[in-house]
Amino acid sequence: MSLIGGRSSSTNRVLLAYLIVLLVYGCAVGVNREFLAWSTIRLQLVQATFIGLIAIGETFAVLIGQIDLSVPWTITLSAILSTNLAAMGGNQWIAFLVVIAVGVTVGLVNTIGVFVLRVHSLIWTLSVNLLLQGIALVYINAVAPTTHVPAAAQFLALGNVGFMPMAFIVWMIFGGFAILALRVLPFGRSIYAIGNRPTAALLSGVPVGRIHAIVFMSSALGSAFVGLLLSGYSSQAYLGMGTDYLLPPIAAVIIGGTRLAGGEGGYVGSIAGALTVVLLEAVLVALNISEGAQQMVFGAILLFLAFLFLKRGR
Amino acid sequence: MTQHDSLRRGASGRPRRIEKHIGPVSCTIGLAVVMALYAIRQPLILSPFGLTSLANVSVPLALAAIGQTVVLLGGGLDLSIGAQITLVNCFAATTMHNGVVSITTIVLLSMTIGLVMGLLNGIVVAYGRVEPLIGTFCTSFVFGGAALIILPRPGGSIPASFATALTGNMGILPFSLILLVSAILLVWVPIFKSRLGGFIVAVGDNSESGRLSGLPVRRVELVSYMLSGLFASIAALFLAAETTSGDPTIGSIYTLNSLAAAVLGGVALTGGRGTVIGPVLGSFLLSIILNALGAFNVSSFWQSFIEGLILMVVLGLGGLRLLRSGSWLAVLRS
Amino acid sequence: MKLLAGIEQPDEGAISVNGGAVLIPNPRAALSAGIAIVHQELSLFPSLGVTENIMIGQEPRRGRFWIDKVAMRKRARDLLDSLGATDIDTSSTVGDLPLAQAQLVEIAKALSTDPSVLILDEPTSALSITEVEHLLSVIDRLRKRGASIVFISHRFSEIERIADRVTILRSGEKAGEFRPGTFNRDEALALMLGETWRKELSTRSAEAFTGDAEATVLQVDDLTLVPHFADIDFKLRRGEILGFTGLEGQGQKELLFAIFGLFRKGLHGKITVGGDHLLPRHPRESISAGIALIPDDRKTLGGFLNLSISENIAITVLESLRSALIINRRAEADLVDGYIRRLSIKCTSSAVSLGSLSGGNQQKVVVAKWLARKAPVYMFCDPTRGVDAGARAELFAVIRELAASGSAILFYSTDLSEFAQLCNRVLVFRDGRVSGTLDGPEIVEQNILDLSFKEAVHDAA
Repeated sequence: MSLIGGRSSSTNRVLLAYLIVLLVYGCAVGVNREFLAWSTIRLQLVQATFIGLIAIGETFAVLIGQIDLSVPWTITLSAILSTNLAAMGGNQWIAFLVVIAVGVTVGLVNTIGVFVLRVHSLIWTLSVNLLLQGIALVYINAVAPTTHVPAAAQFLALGNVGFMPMAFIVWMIFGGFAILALRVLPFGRSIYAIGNRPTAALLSGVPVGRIHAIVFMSSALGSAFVGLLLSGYSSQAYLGMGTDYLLPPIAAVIIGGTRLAGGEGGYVGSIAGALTVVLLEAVLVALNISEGAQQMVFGAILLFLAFLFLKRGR
Repeated sequence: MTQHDSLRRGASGRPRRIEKHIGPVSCTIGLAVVMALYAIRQPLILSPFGLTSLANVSVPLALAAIGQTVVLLGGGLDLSIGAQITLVNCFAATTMHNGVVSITTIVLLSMTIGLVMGLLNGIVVAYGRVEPLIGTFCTSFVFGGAALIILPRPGGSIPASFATALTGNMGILPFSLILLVSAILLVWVPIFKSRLGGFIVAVGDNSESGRLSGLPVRRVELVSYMLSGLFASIAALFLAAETTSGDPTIGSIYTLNSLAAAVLGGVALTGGRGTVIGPVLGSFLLSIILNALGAFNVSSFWQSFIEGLILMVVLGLGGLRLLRSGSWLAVLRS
Repeated sequence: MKLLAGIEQPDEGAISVNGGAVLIPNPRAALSAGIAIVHQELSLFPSLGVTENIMIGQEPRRGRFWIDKVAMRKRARDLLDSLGATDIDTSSTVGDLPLAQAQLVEIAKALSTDPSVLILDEPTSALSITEVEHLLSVIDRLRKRGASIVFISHRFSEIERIADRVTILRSGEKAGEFRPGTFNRDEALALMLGETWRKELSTRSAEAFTGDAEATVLQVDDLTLVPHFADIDFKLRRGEILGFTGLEGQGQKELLFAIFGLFRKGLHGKITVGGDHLLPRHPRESISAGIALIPDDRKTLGGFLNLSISENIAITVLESLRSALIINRRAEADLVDGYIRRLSIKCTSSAVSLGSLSGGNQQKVVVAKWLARKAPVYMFCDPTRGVDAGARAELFAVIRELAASGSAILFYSTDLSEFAQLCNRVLVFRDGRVSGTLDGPEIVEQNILDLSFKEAVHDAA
């Protein structure tokens, strides 16, 4: 059993993902020498952490043949609620409890829609995203957002351990767990089985419903946690702080070599994918390319990957 | 086994002939109830001005929903409708000037852009063999990005003559309704009276049967996306007239709402089943519910929440129908 | 058949219609070459009306664009009437029609193109006896009108009834031909089975159950699932191989699937496994009660083609392979290697993907993953589909060995000749009910067919 269950094609794709990172980094350095400086690299690592943490759950979701698009407003809602409630409660750890509560709830709602009601995950999670946006708007209208952000969140997002950013360390810890979970836990085996063939998984006694719940909960928990980190990063929680996080995590997962139809891939590649996406964004910004053109580039890249890896039959 | 099951009865076990009317009928009832409550609370809504404003908020969604319905009938799905509307809206708002020549040119160009965007979706889905859901989701960022390039922030302008021509009224007859009805009469009706419409429905119902019956399946799919683009461009032109400006975020809500209106109106997400009247009624119902919130002292902050909730309930109800199927395999394969 | 329909392309050779050679790159070309096909899995549109289904692609037009609805309806009516289907309303939705009527609509659809050749691919497999009779008389009528018809069926009685000339195909090759009036069942069967099989057939006959008659493992009482099967009763004992036989599609497969918990509702009656009652609503309930199912479709139900052999086998026993939280790789490898040896699965290593194996070896992997659970009850649902003769013999040896070691076996196959080789006892199914039981040496094809058609004989008389 080599990298991901011994299937050499996906091992190759993971290697390809890391080659792409190097290539994009080369371009970045070519565009601007500042990308050689550790301070710039550290900045990019922190940015990649946000996408990478979300990409954990998104990798799981894509592996079972689903997708989670409720990320942007899970981030925002979690950030607003956790900072506000922690400020009101006077204890910064309340923020983490709120993050968990938001993550579990959103994950359950997604599971109900996707697994129980059989709505396509893309449509259902987008609708949930809209609902969460509504909740955030209603809440903000009633309660002004606080500027008092938990110190722990600030440390996790901005702090350093030696020369390493704390956020990056957090990412590596969670990322390591994700990689292990996919490789050595029954959970991981079940995920690949479901993504490969849900009907055969059902007939093999795989707890299909439970796995769906865990997957969507880990995705929502990741987003909710990133929400808190982002509020620590910018020392405030505000509406729209999640809007830029719809596409990049998915792009990271797919660039990382996980098949969009499910069943193949893993988180090792997604790490490279997250770095690629962040560097790509940085290059586009350094080249003074407008936001619209950036969107078009991302859409086109995703479309191209979907064309390569997600063909249906005749 | 599943093939025979599906041949014998619809997803819910009811005869399909009856099932076909459930959507439009329940929308009509819903619409009547909502209008009655609205009128009791706010009698002015029944005035020519009130009716015109209700029609004006409903028509763009109705047009988008018709476009979505064409694609759904053909067994696909268009998640780029919102972005298409945005792009055409921004294009019209930045290029249209006063004068008949300019207006006519831009209207025709806008509709061409709509058709071209549909063509692109069609190529991706029908010939590129990318899943409709993923394919149109990706193109939506291409279209949306293009709109941002044309018009990075809200602005632009629309000549007043064009605006009043689309959004005005004559007595209790709003011009927007005339636009909607003529779009249906000039585009929908001819298509569904000809072979093409039959082919779209047939391919959506069972594309494998379509292939075996010698239908040009890919071309039919392609055309359904082009029609969706056309309807989206008309919706965008109307939105431009209504707001007399362009906005690079204006269309985003129409993607999911057009889907909700179509499903409310009884169009099957699995393809092949649906009418045009259902989604139109569904659009009016959705739009008027959201419009009525103000009259019931619900702050506009609740809008997204309620939209999301309605979407989830509508989609969930569609899923519940499927759950009545007895076999786990049938459920998982859906 | 698929070549003629334009679904697949020939490697070599030519097709000619009415004396002229034609190329058939796609289904549309097949139609314009004058070949119309009635597909086994009907090529109908369930949401559309009868008229629209029959006339799709052949719509009469008024002017350039408009469809002439009146002419269309009339033509559909005429076609249905010519088939004697006067009771089908042209305005009803095809999805609401019973299967037999849908079948007639499919034939009318094929005739709407005025074909030179009409091909019917097992048109009777889903029909009841009386419906079959009606269909055959329709085909008779078409023949009298001068149509050329290819009729594909695996039922001798139908072939005898309507065919002029019979060609027997075995694994893609022509095995023999009968000229008009010379068809003979025994000879046809021999041609269908081929040399190797005939030998094997003659060496084995069914043996009655000799184990402990009291050791009931699985008991089923009054099990009913509308519309698939009703009032099923049987007892299955330790070491016994019980077959579900009869014609295809008489509820046998659904019964196995229902016992495995694949039907979420509608199942009534009583199932007792090892003393515990259960009425499973989910496969996990059945699996934990000790039931294993080897399904008929390896690709979508049995195995994971893109996962490794090892992952495929271990999937049913992940929990017991755990030490602490983690899957014990050593234990997994030992388990998997053991089964690869025991079932002589031909593979280069346990890490290769299931999809890279031959059909027979794939099926062995699917069996191995359930052997790993050491279940008291094994259900085999058409396990030899698409498996070559050698692998089939090996598979049967495994099933016998399982029974000998004390497991109880339920066996269903679409190949009637397999029951005699394997089973101690068979239940013959007809229309979702058990129409008879055969024990030991009584299990021969003739008896099975007699019980399958008992009522048909009665009807004809």
